[in-house]
Amino acid sequence: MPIIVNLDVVMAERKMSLNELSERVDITPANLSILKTGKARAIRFSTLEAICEVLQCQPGDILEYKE
Amino acid sequence: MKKFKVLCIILLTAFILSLFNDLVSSIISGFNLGSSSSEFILNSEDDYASYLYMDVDVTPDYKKAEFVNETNNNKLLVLPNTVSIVDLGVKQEDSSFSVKFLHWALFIINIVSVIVYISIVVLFIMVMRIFIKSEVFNRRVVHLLCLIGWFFIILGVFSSLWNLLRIYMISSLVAIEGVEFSYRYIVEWSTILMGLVVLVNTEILSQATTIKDENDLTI
Repeated sequence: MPIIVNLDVVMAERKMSLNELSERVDITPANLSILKTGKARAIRFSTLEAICEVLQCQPGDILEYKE
Repeated sequence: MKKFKVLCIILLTAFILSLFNDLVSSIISGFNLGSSSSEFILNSEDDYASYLYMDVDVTPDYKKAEFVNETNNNKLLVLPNTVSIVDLGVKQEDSSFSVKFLHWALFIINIVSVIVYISIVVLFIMVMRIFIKSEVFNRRVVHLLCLIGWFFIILGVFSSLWNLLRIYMISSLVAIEGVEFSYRYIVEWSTILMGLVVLVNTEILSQATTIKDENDLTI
């Protein structure tokens, strides 16, 4: 898939675990894991907004386009 | 989902009852046919390869019968539309290769049709059991329904072939005034149409399952 999710990179920089992020963003760890491993087919703006708010980052830090 | 479960249970019950009704009515009509023609068959002294029976259409020349309506003493005309004919068939020593071949072909088509029919029943019950557990948008359900659709079409084709061969065989062995062997109704359109409808609905369900899978992976 051309869209690469760099959530694990940002989480490592912020020293945040999956469980902690899932609690603060109010998403199940299973769903967050789907996003982290690149299996997600789509992401809602509300979810992206919540993740960026918690991780204090831009959407471009999490999502990358590679041909 | 409760309404869906109730509908599935009703559909499964109606399906099983219809199967039972078909089975019982087939046994009863077979028994009636056998008992009606037993004296005719048993009185023959020669050894016959097989007995032929068939429901056939009658022409306008076929004998009509006048009866009296017992409720009002009026005359009443009975016009048979179809009749069952029983023929002693071909004697064992006269049985030609083509007749034997047709018999065997009909037997094999029968066996395949029965297997396909039983498979449809089993697959349908499997699908209903999955539906009753409220798992509708499921790749396994799509696969099972696709099989059911194709099996219906195969059953329709084989049944039509059976009708064709049987009419051909009997019309070549029997000629009787007032009776016609018609090829008009050999194609089992209802069974084939059922298969096509199931396949179309399966395609719709497959697309719905794809949308559901995408939705499940939408974070």
